[in-house]
Amino acid sequence: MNTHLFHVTRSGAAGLLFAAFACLIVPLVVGSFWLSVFTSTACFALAAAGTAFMYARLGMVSLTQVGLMGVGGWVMLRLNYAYGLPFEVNLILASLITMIFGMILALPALRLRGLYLALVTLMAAGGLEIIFATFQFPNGGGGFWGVETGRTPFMARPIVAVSDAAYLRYTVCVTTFGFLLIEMARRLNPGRAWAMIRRSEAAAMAAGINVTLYKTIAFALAGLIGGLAGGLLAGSLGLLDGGTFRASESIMVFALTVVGGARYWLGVVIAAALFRIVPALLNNWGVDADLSFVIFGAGLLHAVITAPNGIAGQVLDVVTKKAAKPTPSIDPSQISAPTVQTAKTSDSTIEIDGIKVQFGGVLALNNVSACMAEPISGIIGPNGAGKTTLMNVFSGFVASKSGSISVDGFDLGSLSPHQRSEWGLRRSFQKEEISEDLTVAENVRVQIDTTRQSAADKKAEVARALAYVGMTTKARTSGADLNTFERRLTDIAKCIVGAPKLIMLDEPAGGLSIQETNALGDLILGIHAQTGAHVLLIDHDVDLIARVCSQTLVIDFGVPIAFGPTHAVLSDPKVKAAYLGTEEFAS
Amino acid sequence: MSFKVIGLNVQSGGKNILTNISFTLGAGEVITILGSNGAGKSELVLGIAGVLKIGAGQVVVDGTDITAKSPDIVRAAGVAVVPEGHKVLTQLTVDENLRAAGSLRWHDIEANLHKTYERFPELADRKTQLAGTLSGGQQQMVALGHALMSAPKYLVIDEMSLGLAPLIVKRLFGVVHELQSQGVGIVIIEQFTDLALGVADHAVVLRGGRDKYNGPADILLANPEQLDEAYFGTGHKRTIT
Repeated sequence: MNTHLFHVTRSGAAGLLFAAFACLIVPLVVGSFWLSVFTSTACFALAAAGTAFMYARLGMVSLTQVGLMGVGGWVMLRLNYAYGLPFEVNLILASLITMIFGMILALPALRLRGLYLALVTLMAAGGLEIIFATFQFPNGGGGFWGVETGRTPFMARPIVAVSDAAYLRYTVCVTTFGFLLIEMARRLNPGRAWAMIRRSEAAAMAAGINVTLYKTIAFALAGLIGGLAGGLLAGSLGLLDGGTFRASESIMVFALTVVGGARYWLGVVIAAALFRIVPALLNNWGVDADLSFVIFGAGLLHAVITAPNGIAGQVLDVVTKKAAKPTPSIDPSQISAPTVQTAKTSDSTIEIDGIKVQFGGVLALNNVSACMAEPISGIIGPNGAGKTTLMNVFSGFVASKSGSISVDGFDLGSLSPHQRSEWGLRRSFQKEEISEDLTVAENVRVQIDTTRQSAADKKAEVARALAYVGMTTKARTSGADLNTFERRLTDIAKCIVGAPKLIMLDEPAGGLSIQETNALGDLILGIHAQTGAHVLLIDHDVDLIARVCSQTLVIDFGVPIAFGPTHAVLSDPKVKAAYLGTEEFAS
Repeated sequence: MSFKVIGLNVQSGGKNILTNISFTLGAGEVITILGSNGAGKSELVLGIAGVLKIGAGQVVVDGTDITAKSPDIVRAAGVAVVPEGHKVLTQLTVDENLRAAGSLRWHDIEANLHKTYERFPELADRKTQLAGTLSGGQQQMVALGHALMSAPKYLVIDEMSLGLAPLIVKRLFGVVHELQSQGVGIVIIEQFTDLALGVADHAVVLRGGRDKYNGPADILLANPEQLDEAYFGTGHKRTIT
């Protein structure tokens, strides 16, 4: 994982070496049959890279990829016979048209997730299969479809790559370019946004990510890559057959990507090799090529049972041997929050006015109103009382039937969730939402990816936030290697970047020891002085609430039962009966 | 009759996460495992439950060695584990949840079900409600109910009060006390140190995978500075506000 755009990782260097080998050596040593097999393997590796990044980076299963390849191939052939344009121009046009096609296909899919998304994309692939079977691919005939039986097609190749050997080199170069394009997107804003979307769409929206936009970008990129692959395949074969682009082939490519390891370039290459080279080998040996399905099935079982990261993941584990030494865990006693605390710096207020939320027949929130003027306010109440629902109304995830929420007279109601983040709303979730695909610094950076600051300013701001929570030493640690406390600290860092106006923390002390909770309390107390933002805090640790919140709202069964200075609220008999229990509470 | 952990090393990814942990839990005793995040508390639970690899040492229950045995053998030996985060089968009703958990001991399922409902009258009122629609506290009761359906002799509870309101936490600690007085040996992992030390006979404080304190709980309760030292080591001085 690396934030530098041009940094070459060891795995990346190995990939480039492999590409150079495939480009320079392979064409010299193999015959014409294998040249054609390897060219087709490279094309499918390119297409599979599109499926692989959608799956590994966004967690979306798209089963249209081979169908999109067919679209690219169709456009390529059509252009080839219609106008005498150079091969490259045709290839670029074919990719762009396929990209648009992919985006249109994505429209209904944007609201769907998981199995439903897979089904919709599979149906799209099925539709394409029928179209290809009915109208076939152009072979130089007349009319729009350009099909004429018995005609010998002529496919122009690039001037620099007329021979089969040169065309293999050409294909490997374009495929490498496609891999680098995906890797580039992954290292920039889209990659960070995708990682958050994969973690949780709600958390992504709360981090200011326009989920629809970045999903569309992903579909567009997969379409572009698929079109490129289809165009190249058309150039290799000169004629295409509908049987190559069946919906079942899309499923096969997806399954093999999982077998190979969707996170790695090597995994995608292994997938393409299994898909194209294994059947060719079997044919060569005089064995029925359908035997390859048995091999694929065994590979899939292997992946499901022993290799969650695919064959490539296993290879990498052996090669790298986890040499990295872990940095020591963050010690709560080493965190020193600034001494200036809770001095009120502005007169701004949060006004919650008559919020009402209904789920089915249940009133989750009934007429909740409060005017919060203090820098840090608490919200407490029994489990299921509606505290998180209230935060979800703030975030814009849940609509209130009536009433409004405004900060300094500005009504949040008109903004979408990611616009609220741009406005200055921050929140953490009950279950921390740290992306395990990103480093700590990248997790924080996501929050300010959409702001109009220079890259250097953003970097400095992330560093400041990490220094505030004492996580500087962990900046380059992967989210996957953090313990609960470090995840909570990263959440706080994420909340204080980019001029926040209102920060909502949902049970930030959950799962923390007393010492860690104390350190967290110090940090929360310092937030207002640091950023000028209001803080709303939900927690069940009443000591924490009593220590940091000047005023507290108590909700029970969706109804506010008390609101006022925290010490007064905590000694209110109604609150004791509903929430604290009968014992006295020292505040 | 005892639950013994003897010189246990728990490994993950080929490395020792916990080194040389020992304690003995008798019937009707409570041991609390404390420590900051990353100290190895959950790994200890997973090691006992046979999920993580054991490098050295033994877990012995009433003379039966259950070291690194599969979960069904651990449970058959009389040990039930309540995992962190009130895990219930959300799409099943309360009754179905408890019956599913009791299916390993099907011959006395009705008796155990009756006892569990007696212990949690809140659940008896909601037998047909989907577990996913319960409040967090009620879900934790179902999670505890899962464990109680096997009538365990020893109970290991991970982060019992996580995300629960004080009223519910008190209610659940009351249940722990009840079980203890009925002779169940209990290991609890808890973020609210004072509550845990209040019910426990014995405490183990973990730091960096080793036990920095292993002794009577009331000593720690009476001497917060000793608890602090076990958490952080001697290098730090920190006052708890």
